[in-house]
Amino acid sequence: MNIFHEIYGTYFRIVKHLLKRRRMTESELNSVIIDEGYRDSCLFLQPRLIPNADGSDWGLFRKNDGGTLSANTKNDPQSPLTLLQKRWLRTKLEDPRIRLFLSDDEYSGLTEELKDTAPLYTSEMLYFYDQFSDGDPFEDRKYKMHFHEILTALRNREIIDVSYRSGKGNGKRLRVVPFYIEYSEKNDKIRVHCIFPFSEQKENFIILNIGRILSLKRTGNFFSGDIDSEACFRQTRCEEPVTVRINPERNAHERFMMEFAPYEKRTELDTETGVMTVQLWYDSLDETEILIRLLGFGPVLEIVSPPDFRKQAVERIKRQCEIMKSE
Amino acid sequence: MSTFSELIKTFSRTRDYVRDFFIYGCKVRDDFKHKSSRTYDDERRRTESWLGDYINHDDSKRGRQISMSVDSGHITENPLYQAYYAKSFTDNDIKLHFFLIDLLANGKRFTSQELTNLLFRKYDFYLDEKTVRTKLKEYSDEGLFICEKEGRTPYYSISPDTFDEMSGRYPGLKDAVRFFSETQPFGVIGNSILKSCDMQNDRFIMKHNYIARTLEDDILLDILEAMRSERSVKLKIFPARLYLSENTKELNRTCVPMKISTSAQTGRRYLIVYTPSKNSFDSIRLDYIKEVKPDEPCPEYSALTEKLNEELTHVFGISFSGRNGTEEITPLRITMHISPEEYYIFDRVKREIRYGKIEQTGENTYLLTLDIYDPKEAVPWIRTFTGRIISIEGGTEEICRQFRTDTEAMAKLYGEVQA
Repeated sequence: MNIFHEIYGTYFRIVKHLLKRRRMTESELNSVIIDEGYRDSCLFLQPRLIPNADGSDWGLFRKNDGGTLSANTKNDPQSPLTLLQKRWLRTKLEDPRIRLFLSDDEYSGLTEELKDTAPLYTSEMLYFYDQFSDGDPFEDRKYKMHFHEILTALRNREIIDVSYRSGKGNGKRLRVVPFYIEYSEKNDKIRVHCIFPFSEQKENFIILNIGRILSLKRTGNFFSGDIDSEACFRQTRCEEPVTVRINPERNAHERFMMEFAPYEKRTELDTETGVMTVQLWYDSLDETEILIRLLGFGPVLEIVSPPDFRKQAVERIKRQCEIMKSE
Repeated sequence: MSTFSELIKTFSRTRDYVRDFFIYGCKVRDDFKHKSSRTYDDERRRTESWLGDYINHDDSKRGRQISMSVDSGHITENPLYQAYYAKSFTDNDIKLHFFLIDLLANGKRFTSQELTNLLFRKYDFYLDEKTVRTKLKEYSDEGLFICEKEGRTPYYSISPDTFDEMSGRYPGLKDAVRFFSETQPFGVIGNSILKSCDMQNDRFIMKHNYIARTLEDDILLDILEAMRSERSVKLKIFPARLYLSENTKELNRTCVPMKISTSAQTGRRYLIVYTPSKNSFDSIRLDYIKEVKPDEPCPEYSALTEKLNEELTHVFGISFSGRNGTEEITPLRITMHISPEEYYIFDRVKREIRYGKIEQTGENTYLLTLDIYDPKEAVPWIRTFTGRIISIEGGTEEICRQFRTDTEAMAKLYGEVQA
């Protein structure tokens, strides 16, 4: 039982799709490989699929008189769930978040069905040591209802009416269309990415914490326009990347590269000085989070630019020095 | 001389390269000198082939550097899963796969001899019965086929369990799999289910998404199996990752795997182990582990788990600081300035503090007490409160001194600040 097995592989998947088509031209076969394969797959896969006089192909297709190809198999290839996949499903039944997706009946039915399948692990075997303790109440009835309504609206691009409490405690009412649901393992919270469907303004993007939704109603009205998620993300993307210089002491290079791996970045290492310079792009809504995480590296990291970002670091260090002097 | 292939036989070498391209991003050809240049070229070409859209080539002073840059918070599918889908196979593997599935599609069951005959008759594919039987056994172990014995003769049929059928009965399952396919560990297994049904995740994204962790999933699976069967393991470990050289030697260790400890904030994942010869717990970075082999059963596993759970109530991160649970702990006390209108700072401390408490000691001052083995581990977190730390006491003297000298060094680094 291994994840790294050819039965899950890209080549097997492409061949399955081709066999399902039963009959095709060579150019249709190539299109499928190009669409679903890796960059060079056509080079490797095509000669093994198209019948060759020397018999070097796999014998999965035959050539018809008109030059088209037909599958040598009779039935659509089936893909039964493997034991590994069943064990993964069984494991997920122990995760409280699965109740956001399954009704009580679905949950108990599936639990009964997989009761003899061993999970891959139990919750005692794995833990986060620094996950925030105020995560969302995934098993709360109202929370589950809000999540379910949002997911239903998201599937159909339905407009929802939301009564919401902001981070500063202000109440507001919003009409939005959800398009992505986002989970953070650090915060253990779920947020929903939405657009304002009737906004004339360029900035029509908002992120709502599901845990802060007071009430929610699907309106029965549907949004028919396009949602350009990339354009939405650009609205909150930093105008300029933060540039930092990292010294090699205290294993800082590795610690930094690991911690900031989720971000888009450019890195350069000066081998003479050992200093690594990194440009990091981030979501401007997370600026404070980025700032304090960078300060956490102490004197092995310097924020070089943008000036406003650096200034925020300077002010905090200045304040710290003043406190230390007065003590 | 063998020719280049997009597919790979073993995962471990590729795991190292993909990780280096993704995590470190500033390595040039010379930095891989512990490998042959041909290996480097093949691995680079393969990675480009799988992950073309995410690969950057930058010309630096040191040479051309290959990096992978992904804004992991805004993607619906972890691109690194591709590495798992590139396992090489033989001609017989793929032919047997599709022909056997075709023969068994009608739901009937056959012996290996019958299937061997049918392969020849229907597809002109001749193999000896032993080869066919080996594949049938492998697929039965994987769960694709069902093997039932009648007397001493095994009969094989295809498993009727498909995700399409299952999700038809449990409609909520499709979105559950979409969601969990992007969570770690083993999101790649969920992704393989989606792909088997021509589905994709187009609605869930993950913030603070450490996608490179998936590269450890195959190692992790072996470790978890050993934990489930309460066995010790033999590990092959890299001493460090960032600057591997030709002199870097792997270490061998025999230990009892106890728990997997993950940092949601730094992306690092650790295996907590018990070493009988030292009678103590410690941790090993999961991405430093190259190979896992199950070893002897550990009869005292339950007692060790109990002991570990107790010790973990004093471990801020993953450091046991060489203790065996008997030494006294000097709590680390941090006094912090928080004015009443800065309730959000108080809330932040409350949700982030672990193995400690926060109490108000003045109108604008709060005392954080951390009951932890290794106070050094808390320092990066304490520094995130730069600008409001009034004092640090307890723990070790070194910590208090280091915080002061670090702050002075930061003041010097930024120039504008008078230390």
